[in-house]
Amino acid sequence: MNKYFKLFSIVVFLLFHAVKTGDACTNILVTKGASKDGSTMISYSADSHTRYGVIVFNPSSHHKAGEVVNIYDYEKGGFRGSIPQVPYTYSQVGHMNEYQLSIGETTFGGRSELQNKSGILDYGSLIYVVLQRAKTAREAIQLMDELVQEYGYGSVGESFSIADKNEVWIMEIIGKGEGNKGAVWVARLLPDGYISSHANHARITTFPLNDPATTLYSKDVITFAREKGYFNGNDEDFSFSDAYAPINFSAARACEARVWSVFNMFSEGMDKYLDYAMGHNNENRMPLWVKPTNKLSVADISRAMRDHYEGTPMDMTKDFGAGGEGTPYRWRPMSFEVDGKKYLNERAIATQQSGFWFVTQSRSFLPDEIGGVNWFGVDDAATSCLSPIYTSSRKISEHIRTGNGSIIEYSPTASFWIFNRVAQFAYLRYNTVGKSVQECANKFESESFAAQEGVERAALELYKTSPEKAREFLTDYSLSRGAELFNTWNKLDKYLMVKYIDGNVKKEENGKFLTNGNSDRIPASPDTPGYSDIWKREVVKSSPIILLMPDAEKKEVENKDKKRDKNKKKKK
Amino acid sequence: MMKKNFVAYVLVACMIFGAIKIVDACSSILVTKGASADGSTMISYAADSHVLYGELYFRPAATHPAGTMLKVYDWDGGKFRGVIPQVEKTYSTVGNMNEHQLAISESTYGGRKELVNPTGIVDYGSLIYITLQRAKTAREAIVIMDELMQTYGYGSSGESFSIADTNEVWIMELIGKGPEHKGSVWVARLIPNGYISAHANQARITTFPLDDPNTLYSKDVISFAREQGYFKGKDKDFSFADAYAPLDFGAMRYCDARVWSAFNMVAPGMDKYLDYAMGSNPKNRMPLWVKPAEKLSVAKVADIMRDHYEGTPMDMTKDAGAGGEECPYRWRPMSYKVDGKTYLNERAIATQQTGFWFISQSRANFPDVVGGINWFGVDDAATSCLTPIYSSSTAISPYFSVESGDLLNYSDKSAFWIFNRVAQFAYLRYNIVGKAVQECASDFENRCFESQPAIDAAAMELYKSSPAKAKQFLTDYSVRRANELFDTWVALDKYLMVKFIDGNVKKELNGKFQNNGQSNRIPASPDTPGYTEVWKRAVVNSSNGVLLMPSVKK
Repeated sequence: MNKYFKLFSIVVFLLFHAVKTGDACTNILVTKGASKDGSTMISYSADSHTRYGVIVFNPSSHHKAGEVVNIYDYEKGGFRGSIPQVPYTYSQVGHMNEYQLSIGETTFGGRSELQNKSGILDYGSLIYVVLQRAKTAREAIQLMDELVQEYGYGSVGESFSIADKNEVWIMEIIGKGEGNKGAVWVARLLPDGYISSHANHARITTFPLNDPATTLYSKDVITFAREKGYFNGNDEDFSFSDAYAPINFSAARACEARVWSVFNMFSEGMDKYLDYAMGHNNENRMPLWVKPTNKLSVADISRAMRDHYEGTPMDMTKDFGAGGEGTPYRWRPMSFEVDGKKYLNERAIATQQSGFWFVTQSRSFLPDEIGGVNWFGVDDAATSCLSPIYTSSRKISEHIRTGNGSIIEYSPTASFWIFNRVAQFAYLRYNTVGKSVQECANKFESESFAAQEGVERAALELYKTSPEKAREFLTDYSLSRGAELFNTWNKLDKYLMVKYIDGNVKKEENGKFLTNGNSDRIPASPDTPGYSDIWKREVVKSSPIILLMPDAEKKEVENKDKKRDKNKKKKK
Repeated sequence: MMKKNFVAYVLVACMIFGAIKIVDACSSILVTKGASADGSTMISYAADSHVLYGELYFRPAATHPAGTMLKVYDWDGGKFRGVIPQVEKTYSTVGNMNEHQLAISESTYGGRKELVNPTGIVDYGSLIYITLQRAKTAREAIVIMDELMQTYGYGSSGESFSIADTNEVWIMELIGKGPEHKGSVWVARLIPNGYISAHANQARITTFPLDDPNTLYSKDVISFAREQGYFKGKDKDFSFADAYAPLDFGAMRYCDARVWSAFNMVAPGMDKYLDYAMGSNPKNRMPLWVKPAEKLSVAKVADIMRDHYEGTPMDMTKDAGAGGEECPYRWRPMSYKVDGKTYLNERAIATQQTGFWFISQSRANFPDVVGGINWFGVDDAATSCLTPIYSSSTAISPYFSVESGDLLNYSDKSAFWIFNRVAQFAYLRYNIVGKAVQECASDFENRCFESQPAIDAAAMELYKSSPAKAKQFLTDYSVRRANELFDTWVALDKYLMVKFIDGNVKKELNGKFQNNGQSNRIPASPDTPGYTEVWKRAVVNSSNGVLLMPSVKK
């Protein structure tokens, strides 16, 4: 018994660890008034060490009465139960549907006793079911509430980003414990002109109790907390986050720090929350939303999704952990001990274990067939590339299709694997190989951004006579871009090998590798950029004597060189 | 203007010097019959250059009409050097070995720069490949090499050669005589039976017997040194290495240290030369050859070729330069400055820039058709794998051929590229990915070693009735093995991706990736081995308390 208990505790610990730190995600939410072109946008990176990068595609369809939907756990794949199907489901392309509704999420976990494991709907299935049934964010919120009340909510605490073409909402939800259906939740409409973000910690603290235009919540969100003993103040002081997901060091440093970094990139005055982000002042919570200094584009959001705290005190490229070539990645586990003290590895927004990521664009000034774009990428945002997928698409690229490979089955035609392959090389030499990868991504994305207006003008032309033709056109465009990205990355992979093997950088001129001038099979002598200063210093500290070149010998060699040079001069 | 050009010239000269002495460099081990486990002679070679593609040069035996001329292209740089008359009959060669089981390899020590004759037609690489097509024995090879250099001029800097036939193993060291002078000065020494030797970019032959049939040398090797002012003692005190390639710190630490490590792995008592190897005692030179404590197999020589000073004071896996996962590789440049002091990156036998490497086996107890094996691999020895290529082969695997690709053109059908691809991933996480790569190599090589007696026996059976059939059989075997190795590495590459991406180690059960018990597409939670102690300490040192977690109650 004892043995089993011990094992059980370890498993629980591991699960907790995984939910809180290892398997985690980041979302950014952008309102119409905060975006450059009047889009609403949400971004998402699905970060898990066991997640494969594909896009789920469900075409719209009619269903017979009595049909059921089998619910399989989004994370683990296990069968959870079945629920009745609706007569008609909308077409869904990843986390976005044909009505430009999009939903992202991050798991905050929260009080672990509130999980109702037998609830049929896990958070991921909840998203996918709702996307097939709702047209607007408000509809989605209502539907989510109904579904979890009816069939039970089986996951731990979640933050959802929910955007339609007009509104952007953040909704936070947690179960009510084993055997209890339903959930307690709060949803808040982001004020126009603002952005928000969540990253594995509950963000909603206090909220207006009587403003249904901007704030919705489950009736029992406060009473349930009181019953459970999580809260005993006045209603207006009730903080969802503090009641259901008490803050601790790792929630601040491994989670909220990412939100801080997003805000810090786009708005003023975030310095004053640095101590909170770094886990040193849990009282100093950040606002739920901030107003960005400049209006944001898809490119800006993708830049934020590629962040590793560069330029902040948590900059992952600056300590020795970055190796000799500025790598802003740290392998798990997330902490280590030296001389009895515990140290952490930072957890940035861009992280090696992302399965896929996206930035959505929902645009009220365009018909739904044209307005919804899912800018989609697989693997780590900072080493991968977005490709536009119009959400009216009738078909999905083979390279990102469910079933083409898995995270335990290599597929040479899967984007996930070629992007991962390139990423591993980038991690070896981030400031050279990684830089090339980013240049390639940047070029591809810039081309897509530049083409967008023309593509949509053409689609609108077609739309006038036939919305279906517009859909076909955008399907083809999305597919051709996807195929091109896959091919680009396959070429990039080979280019990187030739360019960068063995610590070298082969010279190029006019886009071609330089030869040695004698043979087109032999390169010019490659450059050898060497290592960063921090690397050198720590290597020397770790081996102060062995690697030191003797001064005397060095002088002797130098003198010899000088003599030799003098002789040469004389000879000349 | 003049000044600027001069600076540029010095820079270029310095880079060339640096390249020859340090960057493009090689290691070679020589094993006599009496020092090998099965009575083979063996030489090994790693061809290390940042601009060398790993491929197996195959030249079938041929007869040439009188008057045929041979164009000589620089082996290193591909430059056309001139033409020399072809001989009537050339032998078949596979890599650095010919059909008579003669094998030749080299390492460049450079030596006195003024002795290079840039107009010499024959560079060191061409010298090897031409000689292999013309000589049957080591002694013949030495004579031919001398003749070629005297007749057509020697165009490279100082070289050490390993030359082995079925019975003898020689080390030959030579250097040119300066611009416009054909020929070279040289010494060649027969390694005493039961001994091994090694050279690695520094001249190894010091004094030598002047009157001994097992020591050959050019007539003017001493007198030329006197003329040039390199030497003025007695003949018997003449040291080739000291006269033509004076030691400096780099020659010891970057070059002879590798010889030391090879010796240290197999012979007792090398501790006393550690100060020499590490560059702090130039007077304490190592012997030219040592007697190994145990007789060596191909596998043991391969072990040596995979060395990175593990277990010695120069162990590259121990300092923070190894990163968090014990990587025994350092990118170039080979030195750097911290606070005005200069520090070095070690240069081990196994190194990232190896183009190809091999271990030859020449066996007097077999006919030439069966006896010669070129155990051949491409890229870094420590992350790659040897495959047996019988030197009587009349064809080779396309994946290893000169047509398979080159250093500037990636090919999916190239052994070099798939091995390099796997190696780069191994460098990222050496103690995890590298280990899996080494296990794969070990498994493949062991299967080859185990099947060798049966292959030899079958070939001998065929040989009795038809040497041609034996040749065909061994060609087929060699090609099949090499193709299998290529396929193995292509599969390994994919396996490594699935197993090790993102710092993780996916769990396996009975040779299959373990799923999470719910879906066969989702793995069990992967292991996360984390980093080494030296890494952790360096990270803490370098991060000014930023990464310290507050000690709070749970």
